Amino acid sequence: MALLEVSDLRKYFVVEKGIVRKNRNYVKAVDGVSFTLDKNQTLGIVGESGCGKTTLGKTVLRLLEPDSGVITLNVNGRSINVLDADEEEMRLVRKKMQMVFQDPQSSLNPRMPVKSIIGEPLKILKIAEDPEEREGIVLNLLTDVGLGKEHMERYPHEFSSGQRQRIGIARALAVGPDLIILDEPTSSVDVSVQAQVLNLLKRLQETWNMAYLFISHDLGVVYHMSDRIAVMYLGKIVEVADADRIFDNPLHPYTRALLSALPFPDPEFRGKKKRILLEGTVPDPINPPPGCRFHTRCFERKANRPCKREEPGMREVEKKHLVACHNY
Amino acid sequence: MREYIVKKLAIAVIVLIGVYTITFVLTFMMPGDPARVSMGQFGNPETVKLIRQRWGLDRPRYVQYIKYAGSFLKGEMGMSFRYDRPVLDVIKYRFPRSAYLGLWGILFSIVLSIPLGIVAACKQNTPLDNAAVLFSQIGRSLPSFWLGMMLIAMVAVGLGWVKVVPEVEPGRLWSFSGFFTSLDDYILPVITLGTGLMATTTRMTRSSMLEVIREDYITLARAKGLPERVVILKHALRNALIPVVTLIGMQFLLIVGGVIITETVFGINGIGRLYVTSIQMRDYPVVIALTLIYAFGVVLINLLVDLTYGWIDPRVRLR
Repeated sequence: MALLEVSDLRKYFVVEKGIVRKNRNYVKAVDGVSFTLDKNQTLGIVGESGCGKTTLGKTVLRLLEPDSGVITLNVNGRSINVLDADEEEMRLVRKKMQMVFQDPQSSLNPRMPVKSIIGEPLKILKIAEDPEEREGIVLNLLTDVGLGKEHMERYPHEFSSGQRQRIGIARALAVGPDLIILDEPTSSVDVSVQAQVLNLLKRLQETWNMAYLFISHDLGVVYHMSDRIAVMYLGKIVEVADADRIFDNPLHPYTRALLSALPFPDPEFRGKKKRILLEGTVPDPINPPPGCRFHTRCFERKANRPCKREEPGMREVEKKHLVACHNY
Repeated sequence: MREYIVKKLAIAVIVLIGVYTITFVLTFMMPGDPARVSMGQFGNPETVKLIRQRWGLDRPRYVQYIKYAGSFLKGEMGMSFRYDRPVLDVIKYRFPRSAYLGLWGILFSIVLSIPLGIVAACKQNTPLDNAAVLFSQIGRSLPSFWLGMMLIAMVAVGLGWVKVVPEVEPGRLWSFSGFFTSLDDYILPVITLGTGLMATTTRMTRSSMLEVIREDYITLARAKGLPERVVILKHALRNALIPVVTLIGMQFLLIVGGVIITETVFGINGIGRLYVTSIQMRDYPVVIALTLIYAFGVVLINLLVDLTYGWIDPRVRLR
């Protein structure tokens, strides 16, 4: 049984215009997203800015209330419907699903010392109610992420951004989760620190037996981290497959365009690889194009396909490789 | 920390000397002669001359400047022309009433405005929020002399629920039980003074909260599984209070103006009225003394606000 099952998740944001006659529009940030995530696995979610990756992460955790959809979390031999969870179930959800935010600067309360930032969930979720026991756990967590005892009493502003992200990770680990949603955990730290944080995450995944939902716009990073990769475009998943399959045999035109933009570290290949240049920009998510959302920029649109009219469904083209495109 | 306080107090001395000098010059530049004012339009010129001598007004200005300074250093702050008593005594007699009114005015404002601001921010764009905003807008726009008169007319005279003029003895105000029971008499002045303050504090709390609850660490606090009450009161409020504390500190100074008006409307014999009549009667020693006390209050409250920052916001290190 999969650890997390998400089906047909939708989150629309209301945009109101006008004073007297209100014009209601919806930004369809997440529009019918389904995926499953197994234990100890990493699912990478890639897509460009504004395609709904972060909203998806927050909605799965129910930090944003979705408009429709089903989220099922299978932990401790129980199957919890996250969106209908009562208070007791929600506490279990919070214990088992945690999140690391993109910006470690703003995601740590500037008024609290590290000790309390990490220790607070232990107290609230009644994992360790004795202060001394809690301090011991916090210290272990800090050592796990490469920080030490001397950092316990310090405040977030006294750390570098890499260290802050480590604190964010330690905090997520504190409750002993089965799944961590990593929302661009490395995008706000510089490249040399990125590698450290990524390696730390990999190491922690092995020792703690956790699954990751790894959200990023960086294909290289996602490939390095993920078992499976889902590509998002305008609020929808357009292709899902094992990481290697996505890189070896990308099917969706958008995925192929993304991959062709990936820089090759080996100068031998320079200039030999054909780059696909997409025309235009991402359409307005308030008025997504009818039919296939990608058809306005698609370079492989065929006249005999209903791209402009019909929305393509997800089809399993090869084993465990799903694509939403009329060409397949 | 101690070093910081000592440094600030040393600066305060320089500030006070400056304020003393400026007030002295300005006071003596005021048209009108204290002796003439006290004797009236048809006073005997001989008597006026005698009085000028007695008050030392016939001496050169620099002598008077030094003489006043000396009397301040001695602590008695000179003799009031009008009351013929040491200024300190005159102020001492009136200060408890004003302090009582001012403190309750601010307490009234804080107790109502901060919860109102929090609720408005948490329920942004609901009727409740709109009502809070409208309410504070109205409170801000009402002139306090008008509000005071309306309260007297309706509550004190019309309904007869409270006295028009508070009658509690100043000594009782600051006794333990008197502090609360005297509010019966002072409720209208306190509302008059507090409404304007409350309006501003509500708006400030609301907007500051709105800013903070959008921060990632608030989302994170929810992700931790904290109950909403803890998220708002512990994580959000403490961060949102920083600008509010500054505002409340400033209000302690601003209410001096409010106290003058409120005391005049309600006939309370406090510092505010003393200030106004002393200027009218050219009672120089009292005017200078009150200005200096006010200046010292400004310095002291700024210091207190700075110290509170250090407690509220760990990023602030006082040096």
